[in-house]
Amino acid sequence: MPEIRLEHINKRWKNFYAVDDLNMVIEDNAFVTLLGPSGCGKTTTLRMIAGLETPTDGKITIGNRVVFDSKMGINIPANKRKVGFLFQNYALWPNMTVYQNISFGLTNIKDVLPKIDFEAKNNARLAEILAHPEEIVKVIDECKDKNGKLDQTRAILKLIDTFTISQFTAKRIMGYDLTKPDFTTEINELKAKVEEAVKQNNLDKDFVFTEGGKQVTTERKLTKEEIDLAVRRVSRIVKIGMFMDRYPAELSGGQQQRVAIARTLAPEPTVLFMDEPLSNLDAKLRLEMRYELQRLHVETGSTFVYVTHDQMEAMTLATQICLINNGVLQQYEPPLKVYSKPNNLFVADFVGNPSVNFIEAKGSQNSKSGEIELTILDGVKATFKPANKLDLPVWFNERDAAAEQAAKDLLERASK
Amino acid sequence: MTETALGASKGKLLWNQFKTYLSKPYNVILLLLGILVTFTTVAPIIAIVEDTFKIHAGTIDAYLTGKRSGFSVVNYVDLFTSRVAKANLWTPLLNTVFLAFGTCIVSIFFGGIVAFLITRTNMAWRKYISSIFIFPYIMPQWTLAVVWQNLFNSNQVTGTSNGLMASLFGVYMPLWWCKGLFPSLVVLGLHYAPFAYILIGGIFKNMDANLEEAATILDTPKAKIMFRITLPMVKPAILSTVLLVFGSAMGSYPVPHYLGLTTLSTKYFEMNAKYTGEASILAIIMMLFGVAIMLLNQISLTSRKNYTTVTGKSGQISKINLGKTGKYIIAAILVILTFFTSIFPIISFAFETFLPNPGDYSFLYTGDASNLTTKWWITAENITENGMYGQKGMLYNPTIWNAYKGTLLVSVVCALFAGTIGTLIGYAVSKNRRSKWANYVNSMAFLPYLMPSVAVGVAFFVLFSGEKLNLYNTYTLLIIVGTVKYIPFASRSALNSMLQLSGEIEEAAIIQDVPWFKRMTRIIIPIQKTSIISGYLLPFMTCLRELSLFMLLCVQGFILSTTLDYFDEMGLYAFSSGINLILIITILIFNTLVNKLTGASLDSGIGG
Repeated sequence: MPEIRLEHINKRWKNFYAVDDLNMVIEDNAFVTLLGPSGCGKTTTLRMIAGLETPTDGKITIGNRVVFDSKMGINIPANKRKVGFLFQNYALWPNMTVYQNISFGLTNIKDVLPKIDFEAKNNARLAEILAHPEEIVKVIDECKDKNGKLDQTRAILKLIDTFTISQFTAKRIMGYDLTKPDFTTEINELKAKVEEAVKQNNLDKDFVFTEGGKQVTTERKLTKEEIDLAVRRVSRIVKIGMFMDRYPAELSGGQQQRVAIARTLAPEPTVLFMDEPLSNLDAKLRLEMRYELQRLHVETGSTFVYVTHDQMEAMTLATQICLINNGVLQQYEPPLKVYSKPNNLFVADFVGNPSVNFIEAKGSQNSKSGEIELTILDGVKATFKPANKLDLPVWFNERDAAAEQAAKDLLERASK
Repeated sequence: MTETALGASKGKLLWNQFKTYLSKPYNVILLLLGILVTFTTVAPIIAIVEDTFKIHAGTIDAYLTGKRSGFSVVNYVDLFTSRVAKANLWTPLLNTVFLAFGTCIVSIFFGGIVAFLITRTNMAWRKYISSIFIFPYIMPQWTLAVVWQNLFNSNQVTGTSNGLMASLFGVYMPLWWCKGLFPSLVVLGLHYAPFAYILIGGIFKNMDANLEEAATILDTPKAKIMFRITLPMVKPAILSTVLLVFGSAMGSYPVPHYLGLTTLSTKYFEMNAKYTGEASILAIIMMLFGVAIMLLNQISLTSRKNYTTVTGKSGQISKINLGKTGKYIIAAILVILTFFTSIFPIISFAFETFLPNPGDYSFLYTGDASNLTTKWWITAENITENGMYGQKGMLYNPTIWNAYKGTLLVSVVCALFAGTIGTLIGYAVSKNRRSKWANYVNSMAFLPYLMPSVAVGVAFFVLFSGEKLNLYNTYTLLIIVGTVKYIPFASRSALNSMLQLSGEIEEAAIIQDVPWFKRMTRIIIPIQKTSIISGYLLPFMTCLRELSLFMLLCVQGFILSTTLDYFDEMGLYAFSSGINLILIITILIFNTLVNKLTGASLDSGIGG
């Protein structure tokens, strides 16, 4: 499971700094939200980590692999970084149906995977299901309209979701004569086939080929069966099972967004980037999806990086909030810490609803007690007792020196 | 400093950067095609520049210098300063500039007004007018010139046989109307008006209605909205029209040739034999105009007032009501006009092939069918006494049908090459908008379009008719030249459509590690199917009827357009009309086929 490390990342267009010397470590299994006002460089940061944008300089490491290093001239393209990316504008392929959109990426995966005997696996599963024909009949009966006519596609969909099977197995079930109450002969036939296959190929309990007690792995593409199961799995999560044959143009904005989420989740990425994924959903669905994403994060154990300008979303979802303004990192800490201990005025103002009140005050430090006596709101007297010791003149000096140094740095960089 | 902080040597660093660069398919495309277009664009230019300094045996420069070979500047001196400089250079140059400007103005006004009427008013029969309006562009250039002659020439004024107006109505138009600058620019303007129509109409059609509505809400008068908001939006389209039309009009050979105007391109053919080097200078002058237009275009593109008019969200466009009768009256005027520009030529050409003698319209007032003949079509043997100069009738004439096959071959292959290369360039450039190299490749690929056809033809003629490499009169040469000249059609339409395609569409596939080839064939090409097809269709149709570009590169029976020219010079007007007819019908058939099969058409999305 990967950790993402950004070191001195800059992104510059001519003299405009979109991202300015960003350093951060996104821990493994974290849920980090990049938060900030619009145009502050959140999306740029995300796209740079994903490899869709090239940083001007700096270094990015995902896991233990350097994916970008300006000094070494390394830049691993986005497709080799093995990440998921959810686009703000969905980026669904308009020429493909929902099913094709989700499955398209899966058809390209070629990896070292266990060798599985799918026929045996399906037969075993089918035997299990057929053992309780009354359940099948119940499911199918629900799909009859008031005239008793069966809606085939709906029934298949229902079977897929009830028994977590692929559409191919579901179609096989539909092929049986479901009016008869007992399938003992069929079940025995199926079981016999399974047993034979298990014996012949030394299959283990997951129907993986074994040799000398070890699972056999080969480099192969995903089978149709696996792809279908994956598509069904993600479409259940975002509840789009009934739109599988539609084209993106025939879906509402919220439905499109759910398809986009499903498409991103399908290949089970270990790092998932999301660019304001919930911005176009209605309020209720947004709330639902928010919990869904949180659940996904816990379930998959993937690292999530999430761009949003909605602080409510950031506060509820994140394990860490990364607050950016004008391309500069303001604070990178857990949500409650950002809320209760803001680093600076910007953070204090941006986070919290209602935000922190600012009151202008004039006053001076009592050199003995360290307390600061203040005059606020046209003559009201107040005293500020610092919890930690604070020496104002020293603090002022440090602040001015830091500002001076920053100005110098800027000048140096601008003239570079 | 050879070592960086992390210990990577500079060579390693560069190598890594190079590998990264090449790991992106569009960079590879840019690199390879960049080299290709540099060669195909720059090499002919160098060849022709060299030609102007070379001494050609048996021509004026050899006579003036007294040498038989070598180099000299005598061509320049003679062309610019000799007694005939005015006739050979300055008058044709002035005529060319007038012609190009006039053509731009006519086409923008005519095309723009029709585009406005069709997209923004409730005029009647918009769909019909939209599809008929682009006919003049898909027909050969000289079609309208010939029609003009057939209509207005008269024995009294032009000293030729009487045209329709003279023989039927006894109307004799003045000479300035029949010959020279005026008819040339009107004819070319009509020919290129579809460009303006498509470009301006596209903007009118896709313009976000909110832009105008926002002004309406602020209580802006209609006229002010028109001049301050609508028309400025169209400015980029007008500029592109100028860009496309100016160069094409300059390089047009057939129209000024038929209508008796001396321009640089007609002068070139006149001077080519005896004044070879000086003729090449004329070609260079034409090229310079092309380069100048390209630079102007670059400046206009980098202007900060660069606005996207196509937002994709535009809703209902408010249409101007022309009134109950108004919408029919205006439509009727356009129907009559387009009848003369689009349908009449076909009828006219068909009719000409049945006239016993050119200009013998006696059938029209006698109604006697014996005043017509089918001999031009069906004579199957060589006979000289019936005015056919020993040619067989068109249906049996091997010269014509061989040329027809040649034309089809050249057009198909050119379209395939130009379409593919252009689409790839458009794709690669759209992925790399900010890179200088991408812009360079784009400009280099586009430059041949801005250069007058005649000049491009000349350049390749010079380049490929040397002693070592002689491709003169081969289909290979025609295909190379045609491809180079027509790549811009495809690259431009691909670039425009790719820019409309959000980058995220491809990025979504990249993230899932979909290979490049699959991304192209499964996602990008299917989505932009229509505009990519038109990137193949435009070169094909333009190539079918190309004359100016190919004239120098092959002998007369090689392709149909040069064969037409040959018969025309010979005085077999029925034959040239017949070939025109064959060409027009071929183009129309292909246009309709592609339209029906793929839904792509030149005026797609504007009409109705």
